[in-house]
Amino acid sequence: MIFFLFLTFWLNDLVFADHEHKFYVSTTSIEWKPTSKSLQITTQLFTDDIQSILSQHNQSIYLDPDSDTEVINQLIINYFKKTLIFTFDGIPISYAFLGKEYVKDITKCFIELKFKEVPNKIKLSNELFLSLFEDQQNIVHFKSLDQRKSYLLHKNKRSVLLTLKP
Amino acid sequence: MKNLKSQSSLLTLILFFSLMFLNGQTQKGHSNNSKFKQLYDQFADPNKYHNASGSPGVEYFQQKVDYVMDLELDDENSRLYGEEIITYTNNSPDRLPYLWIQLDQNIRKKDAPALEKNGSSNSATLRPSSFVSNYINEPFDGGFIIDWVKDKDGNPLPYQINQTMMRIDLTKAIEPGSSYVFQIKWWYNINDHVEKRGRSGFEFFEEDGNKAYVIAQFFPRLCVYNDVEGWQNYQFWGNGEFALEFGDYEVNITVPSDHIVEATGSLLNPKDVLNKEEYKRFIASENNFEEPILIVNQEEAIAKESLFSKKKNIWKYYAKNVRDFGFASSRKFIWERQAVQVGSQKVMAVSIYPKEGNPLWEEYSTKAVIQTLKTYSKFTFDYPYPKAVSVHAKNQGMEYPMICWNYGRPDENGNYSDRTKFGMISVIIHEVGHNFFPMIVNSYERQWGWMDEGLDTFVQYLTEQEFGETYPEAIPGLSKYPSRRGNPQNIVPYMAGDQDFISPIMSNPENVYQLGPNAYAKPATALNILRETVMGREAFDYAFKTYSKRWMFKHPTPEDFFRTMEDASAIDLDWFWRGWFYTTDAVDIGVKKVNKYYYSDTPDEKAKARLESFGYNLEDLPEIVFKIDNNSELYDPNVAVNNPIGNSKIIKDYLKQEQITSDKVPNYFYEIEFEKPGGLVMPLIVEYSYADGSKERVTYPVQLWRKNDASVKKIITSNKELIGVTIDPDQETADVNSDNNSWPKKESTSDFDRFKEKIKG
Repeated sequence: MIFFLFLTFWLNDLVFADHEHKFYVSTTSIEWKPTSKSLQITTQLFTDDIQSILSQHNQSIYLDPDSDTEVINQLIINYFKKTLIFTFDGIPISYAFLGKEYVKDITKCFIELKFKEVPNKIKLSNELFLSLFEDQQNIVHFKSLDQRKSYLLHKNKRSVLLTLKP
Repeated sequence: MKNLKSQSSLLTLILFFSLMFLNGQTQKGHSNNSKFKQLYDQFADPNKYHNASGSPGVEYFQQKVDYVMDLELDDENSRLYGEEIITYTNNSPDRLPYLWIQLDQNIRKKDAPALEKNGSSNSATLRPSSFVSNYINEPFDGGFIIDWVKDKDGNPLPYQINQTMMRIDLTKAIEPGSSYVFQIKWWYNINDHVEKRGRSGFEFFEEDGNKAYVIAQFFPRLCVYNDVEGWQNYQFWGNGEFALEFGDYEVNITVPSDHIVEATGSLLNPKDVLNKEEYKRFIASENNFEEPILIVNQEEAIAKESLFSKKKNIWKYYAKNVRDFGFASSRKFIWERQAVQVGSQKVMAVSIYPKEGNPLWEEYSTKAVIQTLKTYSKFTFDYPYPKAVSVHAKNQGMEYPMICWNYGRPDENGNYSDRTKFGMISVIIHEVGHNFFPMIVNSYERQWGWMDEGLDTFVQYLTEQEFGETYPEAIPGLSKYPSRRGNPQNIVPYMAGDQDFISPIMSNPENVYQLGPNAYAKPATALNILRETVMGREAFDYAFKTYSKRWMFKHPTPEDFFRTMEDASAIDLDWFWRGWFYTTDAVDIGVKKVNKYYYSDTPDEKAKARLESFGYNLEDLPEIVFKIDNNSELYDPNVAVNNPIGNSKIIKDYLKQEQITSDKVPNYFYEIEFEKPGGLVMPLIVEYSYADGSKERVTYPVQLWRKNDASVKKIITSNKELIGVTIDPDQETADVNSDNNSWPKKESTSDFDRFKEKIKG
């Protein structure tokens, strides 16, 4: 599901040898479920990218297989709290980290956000890995009923508004 | 039955008039916007240079450019000096009053316009290293210094430089069929390719103070002159790669005597530049087909790291019929070679890498080179060059004739992830594969990135899969090599993505938003779908091979590829090229409705209304029966079971009269409506499931959509009850929306639901 893109228009590099160059991308798929008033969120990250981030906090951990799943999950939760933020009127909305699984070199994280009251618009700010890679791209797919929208976020565009139709 | 013919023509007539006066006003017309429209409006006309079957035409011509070069690498100051004698042979029918030369290094000049090709904006965050390079560091002092340009007798020639190109003005035009000899002397500062990304340059190893050079686009090279573009005039802006003429190269490279060099072409003087032991191994490797032989091993390479020899060696190379020249040089290189039999030709598979590449490189590099030579040769032509070299350079993935630079490095402790390992194997296959496209099938990269990247990525996919079969121990726990590109499902997120950031494949590489999916993944996937789903392997493989062979050592255009694929297969693919290559449309095909029906002698309200609208009475008509489907007010589910002729006396009588027994009548009639919200037309692949557990797979030809772009109906008759319809059951068409792919509508279990279910359990 993860794919790779080279968006050139904000890269500062003079020339880049983009032939099979390493790419930095994450994909977050969000599905709005009006009946259960919840967002089902699947975030896919490259395992070695998330490993690099988490290692900054704890040198001894290792992912896939996990050195200690509980410690790692907690580190991921802490990291997501700082980088993957849903807000309504500027107030963060909390969500539950259900767990993760590894597929090839990708880590899939499953998150569920349940509303008590459903706002009509929420803001998602996605700053995953922006501190690590300047050319990081974060793709967001949003599915609401039969509508699908895709957004491409990066260091100069970090957030997107999502409309929640009843 | 007597009046049936005349009655039905009357019906047609009424229908015709009723349509004609539908609105009482003239409707607006439109031009041909069929998805199946001929591609003539997009294609260049076939001519005597590129003919209508996609072959070189009877008067196809190509220039030849031969180079004799003396190079010197100044390791201490990171400079490269060169003197070259160029022989230009004009095979065109035209007189040439001037020559255009490419000066690619000029993209690194302090005042290069390419520096300003992108907009800039202040972002909220910045890494400290970027702060320094953006605001403090002096820009790199790159670009060619041209010492002189002279004719063969040493008379200076006037020249003028325009960005990355230089025009040399000749005293007398070069006549068709004649050759012209001239010389250029130049030098430039070599850049650090790790710091400021580049296809060429050096990597500095702080630990031991050494550099590893991978050098390319390093000499003034002739622009292409041909029947399509005249003189190539698209400057080098960084993304669009190269267009080059074929020729023969004699190159002498002077480097510190402790360096190991690999380059395009055959090494002519191994005895002069290698020590006794190295030479012995070098010769032994020529006939060693079993495993790589190390010419320089890791221990020996490490021992040289501190030498910094002041003495020099001259490595002499000769390459025949290549479009370019590249070389790598360092005292850090470990060097291994293994012979491979490719058709009637013996080829040397070679890897060179600093110790930092191990333990990954000693394990996989040469294996990947060998698999590439074998698989690509199978799908195109036997690899015609004497060797293929894979050089390890940090962050690089770049190709030149017979030699390429590849990334993939373990961490300091020698550990590496699967991503690093498969990334490294894949990039080696990709870059060695570029020998076929565009080094030999020499398309115009600067205009059409997909012609080499797309075709190469496609064969890369086939090669990766075969690599997994050849070396199952390299993919532990997996049934197939984990190819990133090629599999139809992998392109779905891109094709379903934000249209603001998608360009058609037929775009210039400078002007697309996402070169990776645009020029690599999408065309590769399109070709894979063409092979597996549209044409079939046999037809595709023959046509693809035909294209490769036709354009070996020549300059094909996109039309040459499109036309050959049709010409060699007798399959019209204009609709496929138009949709996949000239638009950003995606595939979305679904099943909309399934109606069960039977026939009755009595019309329902719908049929009555229809008759009335034509001014008909039932009594005026010959014996006809009426379709009663599950939306009709007359529909009786009890009748429908096993009984499509229902209670129709008319049909029963007719069957009797024709002596047809009723067991010949199928038990169930269904009308199925398919919809196509997506812009692309594709063959309609359907799996029908029946109550007895059996399944039937039907592929309707793509032509089904030619008069019904939005939706189309099909009748299914069967002796078994239909309980399910699935579109594209094997996910082979890159359908971007699977929500409408089943009847009855399946709430597809999302990844999320599946995971939630799993953690509950």
